[in-house]
Amino acid sequence: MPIRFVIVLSVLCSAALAQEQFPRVETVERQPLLSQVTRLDEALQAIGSPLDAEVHAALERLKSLADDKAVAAEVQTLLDPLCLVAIDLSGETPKVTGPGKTSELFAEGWRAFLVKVVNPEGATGGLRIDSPNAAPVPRSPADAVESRWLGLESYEGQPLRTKLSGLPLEYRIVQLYSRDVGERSATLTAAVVESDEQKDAPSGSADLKFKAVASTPVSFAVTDGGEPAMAAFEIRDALGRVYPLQSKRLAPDFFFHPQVYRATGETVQLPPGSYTVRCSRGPESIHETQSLVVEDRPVTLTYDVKRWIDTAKLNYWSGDHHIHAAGCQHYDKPTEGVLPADMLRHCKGEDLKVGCCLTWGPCFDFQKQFFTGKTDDVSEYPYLLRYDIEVSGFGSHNSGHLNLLKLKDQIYPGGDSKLHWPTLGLNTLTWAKSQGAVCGPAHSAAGLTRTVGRLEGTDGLDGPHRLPNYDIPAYDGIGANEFIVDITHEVPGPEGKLVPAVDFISTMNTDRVAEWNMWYHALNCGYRVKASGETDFPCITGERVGIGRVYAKVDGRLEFDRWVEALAAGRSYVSDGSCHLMNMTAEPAGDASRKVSLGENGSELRTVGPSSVKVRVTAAAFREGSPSLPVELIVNGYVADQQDLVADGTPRDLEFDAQLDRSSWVAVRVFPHAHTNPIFAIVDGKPIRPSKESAEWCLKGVEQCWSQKLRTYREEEREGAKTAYDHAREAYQQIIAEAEPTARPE
Amino acid sequence: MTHALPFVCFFVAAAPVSELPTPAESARRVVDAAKAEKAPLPEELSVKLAASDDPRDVWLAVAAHTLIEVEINPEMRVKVAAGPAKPTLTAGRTMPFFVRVENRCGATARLAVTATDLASNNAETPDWLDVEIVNAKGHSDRLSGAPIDYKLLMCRIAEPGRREVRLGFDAGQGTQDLGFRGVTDILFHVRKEDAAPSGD
Ligand SMILES: [Zn+2]
Ligand SMILES: [Zn+2]
Repeated sequence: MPIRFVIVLSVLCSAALAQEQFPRVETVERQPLLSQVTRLDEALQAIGSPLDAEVHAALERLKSLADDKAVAAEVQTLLDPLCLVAIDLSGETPKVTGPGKTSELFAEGWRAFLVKVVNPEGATGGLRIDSPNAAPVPRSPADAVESRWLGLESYEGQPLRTKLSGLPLEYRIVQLYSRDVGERSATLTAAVVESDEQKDAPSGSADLKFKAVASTPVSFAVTDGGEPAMAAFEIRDALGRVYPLQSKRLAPDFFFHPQVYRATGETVQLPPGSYTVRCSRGPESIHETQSLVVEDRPVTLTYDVKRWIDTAKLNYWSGDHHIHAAGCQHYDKPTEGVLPADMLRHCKGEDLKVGCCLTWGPCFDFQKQFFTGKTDDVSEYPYLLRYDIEVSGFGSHNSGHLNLLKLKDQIYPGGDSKLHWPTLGLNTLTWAKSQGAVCGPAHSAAGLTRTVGRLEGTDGLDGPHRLPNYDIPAYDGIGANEFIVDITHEVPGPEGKLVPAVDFISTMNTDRVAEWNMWYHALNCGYRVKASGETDFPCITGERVGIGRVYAKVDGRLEFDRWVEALAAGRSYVSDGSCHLMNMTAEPAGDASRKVSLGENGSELRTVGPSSVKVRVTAAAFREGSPSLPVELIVNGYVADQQDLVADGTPRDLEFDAQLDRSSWVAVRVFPHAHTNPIFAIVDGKPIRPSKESAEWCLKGVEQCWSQKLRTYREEEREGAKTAYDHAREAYQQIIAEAEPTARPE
Repeated sequence: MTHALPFVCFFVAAAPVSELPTPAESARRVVDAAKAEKAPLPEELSVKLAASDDPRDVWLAVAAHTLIEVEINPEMRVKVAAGPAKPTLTAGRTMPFFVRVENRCGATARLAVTATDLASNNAETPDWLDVEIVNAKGHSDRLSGAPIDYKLLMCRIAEPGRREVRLGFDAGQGTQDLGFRGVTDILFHVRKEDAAPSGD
């Protein structure tokens, strides 16, 4: 046996004494045992009650130990001391053995413990662990109220299983809650059951002693720029356990988060002890870790947010146009998703100024009540929450989900729910655009990452990071798929005037190359679609709202309509929040009087004849170690110039030069963190046609998309779909005829 | 990110709605695919298939031999759970299992499987296990787009004993995992070779 195991044993032997009366299992096949124990380790982490780092490391080391018996012995030596009870299933009735000591709980809070299961006969039913002391208090006999002080729940969620594995040895998790402070006793029972309903299974029991320490309210004092604020706090004790226990959370605290969001005056309950608290307020804040000692008196945790930048002061207002209050990670019981106040709390805590909370398939008929056609009443300036729709799980979702923002009416005519919507995305868009909505596909790269071939004759044309590239996507998913057709269409706006059917493409939350590549090709065909930033919280990720963002410029007071109009006009950049590209302008070199600002007057710079253009941007980035980041000037999808930016948080004015001999789009990016929208430089009044290959790529896309999506269109919409696709085919053929071959990158 | 492909163009033929398989048809196809693999079907399943050729009975037999149930939500997120099939193998022998896919987003992406040995220090595919979703003529690993699809999963474990393996599935959205929903851990019981009925 390697020496390191001896060391671990000596560390743990004193703790092990308390559980020495537990039955031991001599041999277990090492592979399934270690796999089970690893899942236990993962589950403890997932519920915020991780194993001690030393125990975790010791378990990892067992993976290089080949002997079954040695592994079984080591596992028991490491985990038995963490067990509340051992349950031996070898006899007629389960034999429950307590730890031989008083176990510590804390009042009004949950603790997780392990349970050792010895199972020589290989039972594979469910293991019901219960206690008469955990029976409900409402409707209980008056003399039982005192003894029903305990809350008890086994954790059997992923990656654990509800049923016993049948291995001779396994460990499970049970969570206990104490209503009271002080010394208490409880009887713990165990039975193997074939179903939840089974009543008469033989059960065994043990009487256990507990001591519940009082928990203490910890209140928060949070300020940002001298104003009271909301922030994110991840609270862990010395053993790494998260508070409040994740598996017992209801909104506004989300069970899939280690962090909670708290504002000045709000509290959490913590038992006495030492804690580390990770404090943050979104990507513009400098994250910090504080130590907190809780004794028996109320304490206050003070967090004064330090920022490396405050883009709102520069009139750039962050937003996430795609977050959800229901579906995916959210629960649908005890409530159907969460409420506007819960979503706003998370936006405030991540310093996300605008949250577009989109109702979609799950809980649609419950969540639709929150749509008002204006910002929600819970909004607290400048934090704005607005309910709108993502076409997802119904209607035209199969050809690509659509974010519909700034709707006046949230439901398609002809019904009051989600089942009667059209199946052709263009039909959805036509309806939404007629009411002045701002629209674009969601999670764009879905369906664009698998490829089915490559455009002929494009050898050597791929740019750095494979942007652009000429592989033909499969169009087999739910991102910017029918998009390739819809961008070629104009539909009547609210006043009947024709407007583009698509305003923006969503970016920042899927494969960056695939989403930006689609955007570049669309721009190269002259379609002036804008980029916006989204998270699709908590579907693409449940980590937090505002992971993908758009920063839109609104001078003066922030209002949702003005913000979303800036998004549609491309007076904005997309970002993960770590990098900012503000105040972009372009002007003919030496002629500042003709300077054009991004998002103003159609972002259009007009020149006569080939000209040099000067592009300026205020760039700032903040990254650990202040590395230098390349800031690239992009012309028609390719890098035309580059400046380096020190990522120390300081905003710097950068200048770029481009020589334009034809009408072009010009933007600035920091791959993969941020991208400005484009300025359109129009040379001699000609349309932007810099790449025949881009138009050919789009035309191939129309064909591939048709092959995948035709079947998703309802019979009555087939004819319309065919017309819509034919229109796109003709549009791209026309562009191919007008366009020049792509200039080969150097 | 994808790798550049050879400079060829080919397009997948359209599947009109009328050709989308019903669950019973999909079940029949997966049985045919399993037979085409020339792998021995588990006895219970063979008996049921021999007893009746009624589409509904075939479907029920396939449902009972489903090892993995995959649910793809409208956001293309994948949720995986163990199905009713007994995860029993014979050492050294490649054996078929069925994967039931409930496809609620109509995706036509490829269903990919990954295997992880949690008991090993390197999280790579264990060398004692072969697992793949069959992609053969007449039975693709791509989703048809139908609401219920069956796929054929071939498994082989070299040594007898009990082996637990984590199987992860994704349908084009990548394997980014939300709370272990895209994976399930299967405890295989692997019998000794000589205890098995002769196959083929
Ligand atoms: Zn969504
Ligand atoms: Zn979606």
